[in-house]
Amino acid sequence: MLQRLLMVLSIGAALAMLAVLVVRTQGEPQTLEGHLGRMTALAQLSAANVEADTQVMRARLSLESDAQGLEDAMRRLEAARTALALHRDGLRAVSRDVGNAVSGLLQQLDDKQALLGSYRSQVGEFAGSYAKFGQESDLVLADPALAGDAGLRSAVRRLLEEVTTYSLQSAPTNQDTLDGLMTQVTVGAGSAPALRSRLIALSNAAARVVGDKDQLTAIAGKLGEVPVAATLDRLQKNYIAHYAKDEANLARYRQVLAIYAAALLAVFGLVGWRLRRSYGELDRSHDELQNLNASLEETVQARTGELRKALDDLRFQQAQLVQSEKMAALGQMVAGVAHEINTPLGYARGNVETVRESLPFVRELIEAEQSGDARRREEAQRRWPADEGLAEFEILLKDAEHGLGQIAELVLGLKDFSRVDRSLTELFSLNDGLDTALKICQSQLKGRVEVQREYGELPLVPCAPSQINQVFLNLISNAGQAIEGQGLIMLRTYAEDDEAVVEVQDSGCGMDADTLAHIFEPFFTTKPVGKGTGLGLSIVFRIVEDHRGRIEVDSRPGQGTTFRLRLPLKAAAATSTSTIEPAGEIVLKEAFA
Amino acid sequence: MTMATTPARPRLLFVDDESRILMSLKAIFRADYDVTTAEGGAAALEILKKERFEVIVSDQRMPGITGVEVLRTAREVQPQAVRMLLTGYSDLNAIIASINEGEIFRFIPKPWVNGELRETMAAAVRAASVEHVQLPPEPPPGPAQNAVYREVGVLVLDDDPQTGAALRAALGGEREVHAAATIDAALEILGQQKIGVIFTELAIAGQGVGPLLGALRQHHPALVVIAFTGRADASHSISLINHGQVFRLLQKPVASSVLRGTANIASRRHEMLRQHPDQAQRVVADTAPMLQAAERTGLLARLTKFLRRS
Repeated sequence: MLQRLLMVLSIGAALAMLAVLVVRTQGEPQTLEGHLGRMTALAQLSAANVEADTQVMRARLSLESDAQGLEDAMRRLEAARTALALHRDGLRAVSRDVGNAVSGLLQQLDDKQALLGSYRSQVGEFAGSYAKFGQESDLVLADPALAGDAGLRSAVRRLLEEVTTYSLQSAPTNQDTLDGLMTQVTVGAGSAPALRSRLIALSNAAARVVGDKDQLTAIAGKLGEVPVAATLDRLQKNYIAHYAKDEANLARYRQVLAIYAAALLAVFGLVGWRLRRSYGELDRSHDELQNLNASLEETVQARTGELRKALDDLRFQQAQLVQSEKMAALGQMVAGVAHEINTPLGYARGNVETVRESLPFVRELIEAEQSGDARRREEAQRRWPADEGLAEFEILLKDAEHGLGQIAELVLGLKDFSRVDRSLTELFSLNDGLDTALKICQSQLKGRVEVQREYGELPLVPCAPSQINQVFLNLISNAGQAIEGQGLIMLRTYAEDDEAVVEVQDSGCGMDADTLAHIFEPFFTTKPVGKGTGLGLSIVFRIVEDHRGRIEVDSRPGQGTTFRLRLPLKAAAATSTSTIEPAGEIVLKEAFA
Repeated sequence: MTMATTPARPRLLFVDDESRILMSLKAIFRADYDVTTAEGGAAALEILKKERFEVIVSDQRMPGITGVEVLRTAREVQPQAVRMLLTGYSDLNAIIASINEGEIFRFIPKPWVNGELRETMAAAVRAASVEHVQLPPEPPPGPAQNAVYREVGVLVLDDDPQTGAALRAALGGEREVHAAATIDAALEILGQQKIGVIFTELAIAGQGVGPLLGALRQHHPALVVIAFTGRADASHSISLINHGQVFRLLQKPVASSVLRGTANIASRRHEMLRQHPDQAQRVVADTAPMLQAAERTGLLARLTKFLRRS
């Protein structure tokens, strides 16, 4: 935020600086046209001034009333003054001093104009009085009275010369001579009255010429006192100096502007370069991002593939575990059944063999009896006492028969248990199922666990007998395993509402609440590692669910456990056929997938 | 029939919870032996307190007291008697327990064949006829014990080198343990060193050691064999005891203390067998099937060659 503010400020400062420099270099007074105009005006004024001064001089020297040159000079000076007045503002803009000087100059010019006007009219006056004096002198000289007075005549002539000299000289020094001559002339007029009046008129005319000349000289002196030329010269110098200074300033500003512009250009260039580089980096980042995106997608796909494979593996392993649980249950069953069969088979086979092995002795006895040889008969009798032997045969064969019966019964039980030769769903006696399962796990319980049966009157229940038998076997087997040493298993069946209820109760170790919460979860087991897959009860749960039944557990640590299985008596009959069969199919498919 | 001429007939005790089995066995043996039967483990223990027997045969699965318990007690009460297990089906733990705790002579499966059962019984009676020599007691720990045990060479045959290392660690630095990863390497060591105790894995490089054990028993009767395995199976174990008369069967992983204890007791047994060669008759095995296998694989020839070299 602060950085952004600083950036905006610096950009503003740079632009303001640029504006200032541009304004500085574009100042109005510094236009060349204005400068030339001002210089021209000053030069014209100077020339007009000089001309005016010249005309003033000439007018004094000419004793004629005609002063055309002076009037022209006055007009030119007026024109030059007007031109300067036009440039007054421009000059004032250059500098206040110059402006003031211009004002002073204009004032002086006005004064000079006025004096020139006075001078011009005085020149007329003077020319008139000089002409009058000329006429008077001609009259005097023509007077015959004078011809006799050589002295007076010479004085008149000298007066004429002195007046002319006075008139022509700018600073006449013959005032005293003139006064003397005039007095001499006036005094000399005693002789003739006509001449005398003429001489007085001549003296008066000479006095008027001297007076006019003095006035003219006074005005010329005043004109000379107006320092237009000096002021103009100062103004010109001043203006040129200011102009040069401005020009130098301007040049400096231009230089600064050029440097500043170059610097700005460099800064913009740098910024541009950095922008370009940033864009380049952005482009690169963008490309990288796109690449990353692409590779991310690939990675995601690969991961998904891996996960899918892992899931498949897991499913496969789960199916294998279910299968291995089934195999473990089968193995347990086979172990029990093998022991159950091998025992009767052992003695049945042993007995039959024993009887067969004894047959030679029996044959020998019969032959000895038939031969009539007493000694032989006695020997045979001794080796195989008939009464004893036959009694033993009877026992052995009876035992063998019993053993074979046992085996036949077990095989039948196995067949009942597996129901391999029956359809999947049928009406099944749960009591019979319990008995079959009991027979199969008899070897686990024999002599250790007492089994009590309280079977109620149950209608046939529609179900998959092989699956329900598996449930019974699992529950009874678990009950047996829960009992350490001696104990009791109670099997109870009854009908309640529309359900058939089977209870398997044991006097075993029981379970705490924590264990109870997990018993139907797959892979949960309290048995040592490798002893159980933890799938038994989860499979039980699934089978019962498939039958639309429920399973409940009551258990207390140290007091035993009761599993209560509830199967619908009728309701499920219609649907169970469709639900159970696929379930069985699925299990098989999973197991062999 | 020759037995009938001996003044006192050998006494046999059969233990089973099924009376018909007892009846059947009695019918087989009563002509040649003095047969006593006990219906169940508890009854058997009562009888063992009162009467002496040459051979005791028990079922494994019985309510209350199992066959292994009966035989273990019999070994303590009547060490002279030869013990056998007769059972229809037994889990692996029962078999291993009967070997290690019951030190049984044979494991007999149900159903039996009368003829084979008679032969086995005759072998057991012969073994029982050799006077039992008590194993010398464990010498007190210290130099004396080391001196006794150092005499007995120990060989480990396993393709897993960790087994040898574990045994070395268990026995400490004082005893030398020879290790072999192959059967030939084991034969080499057996030929060069004085080996009294052999610890062997059941299968080396996928090949069973049964024939080797059978052949060794034939040529090296005082050698005490301890088998161990990571994946014991029932039929293997039965074969080891019936055809190899292994002294102990250990399941991997074996605790260090068990290894040390087993090595020590096996060493004392080896010393006893060396000092009393006739005692080997008490643990004679039915080595015929193993020897046939050894013959087939040429192992017997190699073994003979190696042992002769020593």
